[in-house]
Amino acid sequence: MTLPPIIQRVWHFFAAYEPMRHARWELVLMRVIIALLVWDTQTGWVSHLDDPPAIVQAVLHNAQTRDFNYESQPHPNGLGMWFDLTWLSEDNIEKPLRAAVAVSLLLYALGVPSALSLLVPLFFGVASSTLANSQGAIGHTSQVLHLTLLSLWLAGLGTLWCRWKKKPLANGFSAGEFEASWARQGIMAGYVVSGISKLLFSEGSWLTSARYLPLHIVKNRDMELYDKLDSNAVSLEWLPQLMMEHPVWCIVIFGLALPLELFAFLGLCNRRSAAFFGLGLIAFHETVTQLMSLSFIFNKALLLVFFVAPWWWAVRLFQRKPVQ
Amino acid sequence: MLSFRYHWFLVLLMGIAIPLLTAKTEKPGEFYPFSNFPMYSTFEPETYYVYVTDAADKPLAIGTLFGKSPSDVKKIYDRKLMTLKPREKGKRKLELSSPLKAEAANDTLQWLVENIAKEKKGKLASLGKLRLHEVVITYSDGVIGKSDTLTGERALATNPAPTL
Repeated sequence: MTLPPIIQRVWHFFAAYEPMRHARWELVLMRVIIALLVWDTQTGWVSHLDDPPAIVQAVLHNAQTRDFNYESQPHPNGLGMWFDLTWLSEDNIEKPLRAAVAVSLLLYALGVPSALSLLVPLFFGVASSTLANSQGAIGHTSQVLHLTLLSLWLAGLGTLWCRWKKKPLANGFSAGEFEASWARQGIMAGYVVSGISKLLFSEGSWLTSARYLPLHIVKNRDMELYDKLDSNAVSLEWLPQLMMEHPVWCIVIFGLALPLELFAFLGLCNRRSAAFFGLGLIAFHETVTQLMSLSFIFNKALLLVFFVAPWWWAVRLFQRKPVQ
Repeated sequence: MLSFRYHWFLVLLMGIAIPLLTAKTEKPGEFYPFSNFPMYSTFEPETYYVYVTDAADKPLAIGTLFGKSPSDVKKIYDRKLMTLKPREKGKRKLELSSPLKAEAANDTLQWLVENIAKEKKGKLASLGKLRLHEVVITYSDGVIGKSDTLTGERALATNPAPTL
């Protein structure tokens, strides 16, 4: 049976597998951005985006004053179930490890193989977040970043293995392309699992229950207020009430997010579908950011770097032949 | 699509294997950095948050003072309520009696005090007391409403007077 041409075109647009090639400059850009994002977990420089001098100050100095203060892990999570990680809070261990993270990230940005340069940032990031999550409250802010870091490091190991065995990498990828491919696969795995969990946990009623979203907007904005007692957090107080009166808005806004998550794996197929799903998910995150003051900065940045890649499209637009 | 083996391996790991292996832990599905957590999987018709005040009932900036987010404080309080829930069978967490909520609130405030950054411990003593408020948000009769309840408080140890 032959499919109608329009269906064939749509299928080709979204699902034709075209391994994503990256020029050297794009791989360098990815490494620099990843290094900066990981460094944010130790310095919080991203929170100063509107103040460039404060960014420089944070990148260079905040790590020196950062201090874990966890003396126990009363609700062990992840590796904390098997290992006591409280030693990471000891200053004579924490501070040298953080300095080693800075040096490693610098080496990573300069092109040192990920299997070596990401080992310390990955270990310190996962172990310290595990320790924080073992205090009783599970946080997910850095989870996508550390999953990406793990994917990059594993791909780096895979590259070394293939070189040792004198085997070519899949799809004729270079080491950098192979790592980027695994990073994309890791990021989208998180979205697909999230979509499946939404359906399972809500027993299928996720879409209809979205009408109560405005109550959660009120909650998040109030919590933002009590974070720093900044009254700007509770602006647009009329919006939740208006949304409660027009529940279809919530169902439409959040309804679009579910297929984006469930079919996020299609974003792995080619540059077009990557940009489509990347932009769609960034738009979803940004809607939540505006409504609920939840940043999702790592999700948005990683989607921008690995999926949307506006710089690649700009170069393609201004070159006669495709850049691949 | 089936060629994305690493992707599907992670989907199986985070979606099936880890939830099964962690089913009897406090947080099923969570094994950092793997998680099956669906942000906003359910939008219940009633939600709540907590905030902290001092002895004069003046709200405190949780992030600035304690270095913790209000959402973390709520998660700790919520976990305490879940732990206490079996003592009053048939009740939802927000319907638990005042004594049980006071126990959860006191434990939460204790957690805040124990986990405050070293350099901020001095400032804490000057507050006299910490109080935990629970704010329940509902929608009824076409209006979003909030009800604020003081659920528990904890006296703070003052610095001992210097020995002469």
